[in-house]
Amino acid sequence: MSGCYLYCLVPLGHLPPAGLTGVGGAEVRGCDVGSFTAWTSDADARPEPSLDGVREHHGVVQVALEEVTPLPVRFGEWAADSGQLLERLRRERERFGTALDALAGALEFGLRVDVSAEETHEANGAFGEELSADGRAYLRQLGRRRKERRAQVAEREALVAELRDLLGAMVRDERPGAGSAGGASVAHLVARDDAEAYARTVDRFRGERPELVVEVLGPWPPYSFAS
Amino acid sequence: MDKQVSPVHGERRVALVELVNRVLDRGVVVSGEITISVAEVDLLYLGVRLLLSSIDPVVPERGSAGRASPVDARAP
Repeated sequence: MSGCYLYCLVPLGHLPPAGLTGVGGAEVRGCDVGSFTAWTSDADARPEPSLDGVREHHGVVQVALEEVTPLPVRFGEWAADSGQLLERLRRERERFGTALDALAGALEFGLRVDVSAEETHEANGAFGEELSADGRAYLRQLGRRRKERRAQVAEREALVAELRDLLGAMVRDERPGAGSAGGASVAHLVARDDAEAYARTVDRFRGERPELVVEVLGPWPPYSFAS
Repeated sequence: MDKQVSPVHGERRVALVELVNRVLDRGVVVSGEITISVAEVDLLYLGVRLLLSSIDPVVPERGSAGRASPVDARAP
């Protein structure tokens, strides 16, 4: 008997399109559980994390997002048979139903704000030139550099707060960013109807602050707001 | 990271790292049994290693101390 792999939960009755495949090329199907539908596929074992697996998992959740706001499930949710998985979902149907309702009609955007790469490079270069000093001087410089970096973090967080004020009620919720390559990073939950206005507001901010790096990624399924 | 990476390549890499971190570290957990066997390794690091090993899966191996550690990944 094949195991069962779970991608996301969607409002009741929303089924995956015919022919949609997920992890390992397995066909995705919908199973009704109380007030929602689970998108699953057959899988003999829990998949190991790999870039292909991540893309295949996300690809399914992203398809769901085209029609409704899914409750994304973390990679690796697997049970030895579908009965076990459905029983786990039934046991906590109230939790999942409430979470789905809270996310209805919304999308996630990732926002990252940073000082420009040139400014960071110049600062790092200046520090690098001082490395030839004696040990005590080096430790003083290290302490100074840490203080500067803490100040930079605070500055970036203040910039994110400034942008959040501009975005106002378009931001329904905010969570820490999902892994930033430097800079201050946040995840915003935004209503679908506000998505264009959100992007325009960020673009305007970017235009007014050319010294900053301001990136918006998304829309994503609301992974960051699923729990 | 290479500071001279082109903006398009850099943006693509940021997007991929954000994707990996979302899918592996966020989303609802149903069973409580999901373990990405890289305990004590920052997930951003895992995301970068998945980027570097985009052909082979990242399979944790047990080191001599008995703790899981990622295998060395080939550079692209």
